[in-house]
Amino acid sequence: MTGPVTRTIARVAPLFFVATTALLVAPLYPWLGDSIEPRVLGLPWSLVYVLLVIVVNAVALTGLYMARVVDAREDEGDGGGHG
Amino acid sequence: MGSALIFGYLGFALVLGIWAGRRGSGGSDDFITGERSFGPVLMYFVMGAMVFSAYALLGTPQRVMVKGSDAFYALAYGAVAFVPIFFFGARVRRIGAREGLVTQAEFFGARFASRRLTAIMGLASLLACVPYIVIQFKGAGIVMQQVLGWDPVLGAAVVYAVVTLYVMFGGMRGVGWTNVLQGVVMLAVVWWLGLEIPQQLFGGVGPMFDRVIAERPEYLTLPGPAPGTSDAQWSAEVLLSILGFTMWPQVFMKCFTARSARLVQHSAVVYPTFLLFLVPLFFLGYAALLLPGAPKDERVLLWLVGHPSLAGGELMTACFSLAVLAASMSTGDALLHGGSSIFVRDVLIKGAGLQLSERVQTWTLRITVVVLGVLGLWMMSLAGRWSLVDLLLLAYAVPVQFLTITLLGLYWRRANGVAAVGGLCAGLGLVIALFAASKLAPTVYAAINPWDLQIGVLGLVVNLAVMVALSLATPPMAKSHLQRFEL
Repeated sequence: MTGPVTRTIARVAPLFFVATTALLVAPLYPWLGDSIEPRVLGLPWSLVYVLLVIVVNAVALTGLYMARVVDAREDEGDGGGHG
Repeated sequence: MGSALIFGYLGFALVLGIWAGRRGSGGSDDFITGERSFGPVLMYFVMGAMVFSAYALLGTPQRVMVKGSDAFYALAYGAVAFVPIFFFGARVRRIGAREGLVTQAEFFGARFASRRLTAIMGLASLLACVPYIVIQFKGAGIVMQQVLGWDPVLGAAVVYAVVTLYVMFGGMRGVGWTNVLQGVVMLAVVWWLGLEIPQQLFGGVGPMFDRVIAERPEYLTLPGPAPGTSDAQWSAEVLLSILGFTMWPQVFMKCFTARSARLVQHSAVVYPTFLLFLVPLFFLGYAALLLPGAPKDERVLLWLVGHPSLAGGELMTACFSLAVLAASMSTGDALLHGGSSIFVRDVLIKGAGLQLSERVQTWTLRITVVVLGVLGLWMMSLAGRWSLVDLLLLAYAVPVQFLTITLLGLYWRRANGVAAVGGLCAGLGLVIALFAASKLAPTVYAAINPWDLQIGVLGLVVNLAVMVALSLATPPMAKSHLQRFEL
């Protein structure tokens, strides 16, 4: 997968993870995540919220990996390849 | 039952580690990177088991007991911790294989054409590694004391004699294959206990949290129990951990062990499944919180699994002891292995310019593993007089200083050797000076750092400013050199 779309996704991807990091710190975490309710499967929201961010990041990383948009060049062999 | 399981486990780990080491050529490249041959299963467990230490296993429930939901910070920073490796890991793997580089300091020494940089990074890495090694020893010592009644230093010595042997003779392959064993043990035991104990004591995880909400709701949100964690403290903890995590030499070095560049990215993709290992530890922390008389130190989980109201307590204690040993050994072996690799390759060969034959290099690596093990034991025996928490404060502040070199070195063509050395020295110098001031002259420290900001972050800001300024003020490196590093 190459071309302008790939390049755009590769450039935007770090910003996505900056955004999900922002979800985990002040002011967003205290505002959105730091509460007991709503509970999910009996767990408090403060824990579920962090788990959801992990899931979102994992899905995003999987998508980027499968789509081969971030530095997906294959190896050229140990020590014997070139640039 | 406990002693038989522990000695059986140690024996099996020893045989497995040494057997794995015999699969390679036995040279120094084999010792340090396993000849860059690790597939997806080995990479998964090497990354996961290395990260989850005895500190995570014993310290996470303790943190719930003391600070409540502040303990979730480990999960929060873990959510992003491996993302940087996804972006730069493949490139590091490719360049490392092409240029024959096997350690983090060697990599950036080559990028910036500076042996001095390699030596400084190597020494700083060793400084950061030692307190972390001591913590792993402490975890092993606690288990051996609990199960066998041994003195913790003697217990740690026995466990780490096994680890030292399989790292010496198994090298990276020994570390990798034993990490598979240790990872499986940790995941299985922790998930089993994390679900079984709340089930037996409270009728399940949900009913347990009903009780926490009714009796100790302040433990489920920030700031938590007094004195509490402010939003700013929580954010600083999460951000500093994210920034520093992949800069730890033993983490960064794993980019060199993968069979391919894509596999490094794959490791970052699957890592969150290992991260979920922390969830049952939170459950266990909250279970202990609800029981009267629970200790608030790192022994809380061993106390919980031996609680008289639990059926099968002996089996639980034995299995949990194995999990702690696995956590301690899987991180301790990576640290001993990484520390010896750094000392020999970065400090002796690159820094001091020693010319060592392949055979001498391999044996020096092995002897350094023993020396680091003895040093760790010695420091553990002094732990009563030395505050481990204080040393860890310094240890965490050091690898963060490598962030500027990594990001600017990989992505900014203007960054050069003079700037890299200048920035790193400024950052490390400030961190060490502030640390010393905080211990020796607290009033001076309070005047310099009135908001008690993390010393690692302060060092990083100075480091970045110096590196950018010097890079712009001095000539860039040759284009032909930069091309070797995909710039």
